[in-house]
Amino acid sequence: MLKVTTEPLERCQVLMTVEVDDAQADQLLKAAAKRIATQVQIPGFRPGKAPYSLIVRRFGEEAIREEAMEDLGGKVFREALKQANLEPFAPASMEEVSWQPLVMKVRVPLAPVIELGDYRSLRLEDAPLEVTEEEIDQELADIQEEYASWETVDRPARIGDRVEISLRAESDGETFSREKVTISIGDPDKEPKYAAILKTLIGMAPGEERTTVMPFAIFSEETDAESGEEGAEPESAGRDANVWIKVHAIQEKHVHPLDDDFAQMMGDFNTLEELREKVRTSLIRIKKEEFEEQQVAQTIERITSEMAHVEWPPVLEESAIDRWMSGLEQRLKQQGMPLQTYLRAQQKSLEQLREELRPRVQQQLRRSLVLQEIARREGLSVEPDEVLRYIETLAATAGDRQQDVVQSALSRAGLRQVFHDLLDAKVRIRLLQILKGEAQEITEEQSTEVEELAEPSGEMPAASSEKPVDAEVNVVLASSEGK
Amino acid sequence: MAELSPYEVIKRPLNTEKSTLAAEMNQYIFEVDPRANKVQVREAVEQVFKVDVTKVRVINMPPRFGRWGRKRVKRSPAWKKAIVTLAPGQKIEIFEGV
Repeated sequence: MLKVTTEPLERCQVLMTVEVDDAQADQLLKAAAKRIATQVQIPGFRPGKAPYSLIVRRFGEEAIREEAMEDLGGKVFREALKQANLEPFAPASMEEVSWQPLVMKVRVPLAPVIELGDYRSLRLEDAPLEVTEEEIDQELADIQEEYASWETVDRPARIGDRVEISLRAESDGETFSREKVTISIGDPDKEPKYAAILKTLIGMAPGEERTTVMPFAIFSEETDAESGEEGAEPESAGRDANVWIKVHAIQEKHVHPLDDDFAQMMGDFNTLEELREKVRTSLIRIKKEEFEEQQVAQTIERITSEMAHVEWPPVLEESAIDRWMSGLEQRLKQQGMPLQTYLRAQQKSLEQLREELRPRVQQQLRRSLVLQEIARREGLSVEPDEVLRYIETLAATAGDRQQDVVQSALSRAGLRQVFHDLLDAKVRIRLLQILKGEAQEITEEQSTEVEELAEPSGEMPAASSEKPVDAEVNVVLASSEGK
Repeated sequence: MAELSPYEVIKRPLNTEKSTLAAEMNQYIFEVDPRANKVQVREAVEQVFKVDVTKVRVINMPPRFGRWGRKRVKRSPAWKKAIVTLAPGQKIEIFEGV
C-alpha cells in the first residue's frame, strides 16, 4: 500500500509525498532488475533469466534503482495520484527520492485557477455615435476621388497628374530599368525620397525625353523593398546615377462634380441627398462596429487585468516561453541566422532573453486563460466541423497558395491556431452580447466542461500573431451585425 | 594421485541458469582440476568454504573441436565439473555474490 500525503505549494502546485512499503519497493526493484536482465547478455544465462543477486553484483544497486524510477514515475505515481485524488495539469517533476524506506516527493502542477469576477454585469458604455457633416463630406470626397476619370492631355505634366514613363538608371555598371510604368505625380515636398524624379517629371511634355543625374539610392531602395530585405544599408548609398526618362503620356484627373448625376452613377440613388443619407448610415454602422469592437477589446483587457484572479503552474509559463523561443529560432533560421548569432548580436544570454520574454508571455497566458474560462462558463465550444469549414474558406481565398495554406492549417500547430481563433471569435461575440445585455442567463448544464480545451489553448503558441485573430473577429462581428 | 592444494582443486564456481537452479536444491557446481577425484573435491570444498559435503558427483566435460580448413582443431579444452551437495541448511556465500 502507498501512503500519500499532499501539501499545497504556491502557484497551483502540490507537493505529493509518497511512501512505498518495503514489500512493494522490493517488488519494484525485482521488476527493474528483470528488465535490465532482458536487455543484456550474461554468459550462462538466457536473456532475462539471470537472478536478482547477479544483476546487483554486475550493475550495482544504483542502476537498478534508476531503472525502478521508471515504474515509480509511472505506475506508482499514477496510483498515488488516484489515492490523493489529484489531476495533474502537466507532467509532474520528481523532487526527491530516498530509498530505504522508499519515499518520493513529487511536485504536481495543477490546472490553472481562474476567477473571472462578475464579468456578466459589465455593460456597454454609452457612446455618442454621431456623424458630422464634415465627415460625410470627406467620405463623399473620397468616393469622388476613387471614381475620378483620367483623361489623356497634351500639355506638360503637373502635380496631381498620372504619367506613363519608361526609365533607365545606370551607375557603376548597375542598371535599373522600367518600361511603360504609370506613376502619379505627388508633391515633391511631401515625398522627399522621390523628389528628384518628381521634379524632373514636372514640366515634361508627352513624348519628351530627358537625361539627368540623381542619387542611385532612389532605385536601389525600391528594389530592396521589393525583395523584402529591410534594414540592410544599401551599398549603393551616395552613388549618383545617370538617368534617362521618357514620358509616353500624361493623364489629367477629372473629378466628377457632386450632383445627382454622380449619385446615380454610384448605384440606386436618384439624388445626391439619397447618397448622402446612405453614406451617413454606413458611416454610423462602421463607427458602431468599431466602437463595439473596441469595447469588447477593452472589456477583455479589463477582465484580464483588473477583475480576474488567475494563477497558473510555472510549467505552463515555461513551456509557453519555450514555444516562443522555438518560434523565434525558426524565424531566425529562415533569415539564415542561428540563434547563437542572434544572441551575440543582441549581447544577451539565453536566460536573459527568456526573462525578457517572461512578462509578455505571462500577459498572453493570462489573457488566453481568461478567454478560455469565459468560453467554458458560457458553454462555448468549437466543433470539428467548424474548424474544417474555416479551413475550407481559408483555402478558397488562398488562390494558388491553396495547398500550402491547407497544409499548414492541418498541422498540429495550425489546427490549434484555427481552434483558438474560432473560439476567440465566439467569445468576443458572446462578450458583445453580454455588454449589450442581450446574453441569456447561463444555467449550469450550459457551461460545458471542455476538457481538451485546457490543453490546446494552454499550449497556444505564444507567438501567435494578433493579426489573424483580429481579422477573423472583424469578419464575424460584421456578419453578426447583418443579422 | 596428484598432490593438489584445495585452491588448486577448485578452479571456479559455475554461475549459470542451471547452477542457480541447483543451488536451490543445496547443490553447488564448480569447475575443478581434471586430475582431482571426488574425495579431493570434497575435502577442498569443506576446507575452503567451511561446510559439510554429503555428496560429490563429477563429470568429465569433453573438449570442443572446431575445423580449420581440413584440420580438426581444439576450440576449448577438456575440463572437469563437480556437483557438490551440501548438508541440509548449509550454503556457499559466493554463489550469492561473486
